[in-house]
Amino acid sequence: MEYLNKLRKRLAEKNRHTPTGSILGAPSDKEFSEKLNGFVAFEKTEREVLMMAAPAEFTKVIDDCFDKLDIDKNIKDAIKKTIVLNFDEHLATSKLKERLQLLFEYERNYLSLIKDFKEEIKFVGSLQEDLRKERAKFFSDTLQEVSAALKDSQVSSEIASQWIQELVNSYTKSLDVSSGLIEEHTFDTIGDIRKQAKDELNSATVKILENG
Amino acid sequence: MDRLGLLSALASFKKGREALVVDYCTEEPRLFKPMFSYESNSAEMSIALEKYMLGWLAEHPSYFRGGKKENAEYSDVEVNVFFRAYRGLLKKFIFNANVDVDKGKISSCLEEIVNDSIEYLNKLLLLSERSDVRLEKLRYQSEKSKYLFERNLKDLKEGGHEFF
Repeated sequence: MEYLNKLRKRLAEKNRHTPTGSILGAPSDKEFSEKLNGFVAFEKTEREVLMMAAPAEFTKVIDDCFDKLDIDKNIKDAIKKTIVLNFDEHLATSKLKERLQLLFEYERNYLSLIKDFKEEIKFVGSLQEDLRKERAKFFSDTLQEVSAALKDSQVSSEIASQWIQELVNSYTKSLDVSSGLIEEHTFDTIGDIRKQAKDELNSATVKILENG
Repeated sequence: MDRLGLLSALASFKKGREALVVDYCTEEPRLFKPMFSYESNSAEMSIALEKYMLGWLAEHPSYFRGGKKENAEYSDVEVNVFFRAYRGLLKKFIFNANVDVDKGKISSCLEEIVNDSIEYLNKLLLLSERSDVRLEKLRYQSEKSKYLFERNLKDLKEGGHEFF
């Protein structure tokens, strides 16, 4: 009966803050039962997302306990519902914690992947930068040096032009192949990162499904 | 593609480009001699150009091998990355030969030699031998291609081809 009194007090407290509620003082058993049912329904709606079905065994134990008590059926049901609700709330909180933990783990792994990805991009970026610099230097400085060397060697300008043309063709082909290698490596890395991220997502989902 | 394979291949191509520039800037006889001796013969000059560039292409396996100490071994992955990239470079030269219609027979001669090298590379990529053995085979093939190019040119000359 102590628990019942607590519920009465709780209901009275709630009614004081409810616009439609105007009950003053302790309600009768019937009023209490009706209001309690309404309260339980309200609380249930409010926690709908977090609600977990109470295990059948637990509900059975509660039923067995209350069967022996000589109380109004409505009141008995209301108390049982409240107990189950409290049990569900506890269950929902622990499930929520578990899910948050999984979410945290997934995010942590994902951030770790991004960190690796950044390092790889830095590496690839530096290679591409070196290649860009080499290409720019070739056209701005090296060709001038080559041209000067051919002139100093007294090669005719027509012949020099023909050989320089061949140098440019061969040099840029080699640069293009190198650039292609770096690109291929970049795509491979991006593919690896995507695959790992997908695997993480799958394993996190499997865990949630198993535990849900 | 692993980092080591990528870096080794990039280093060998860079070495090749450097060698090219050094030849041009230091009046390397192999490169400069034809510039004077075939000054008035454009056909011979074209052959000399192709011959020089074929020699440069053929040196790439040695540039790659020179990237490590004498007894150091390359992994299969490293060698495969280089082989594929080298094949890509050779293909670019075939494309160039095809569009260069003025050179006619000589370019098709170069194309044939380069095509053979590509075919050989394809076989080496499938071969399950040790990486250093495969690399040595490629170096041999590259040297051979230079001699075959010379031989083909000689045959064309002796056959009285109109190009000459």
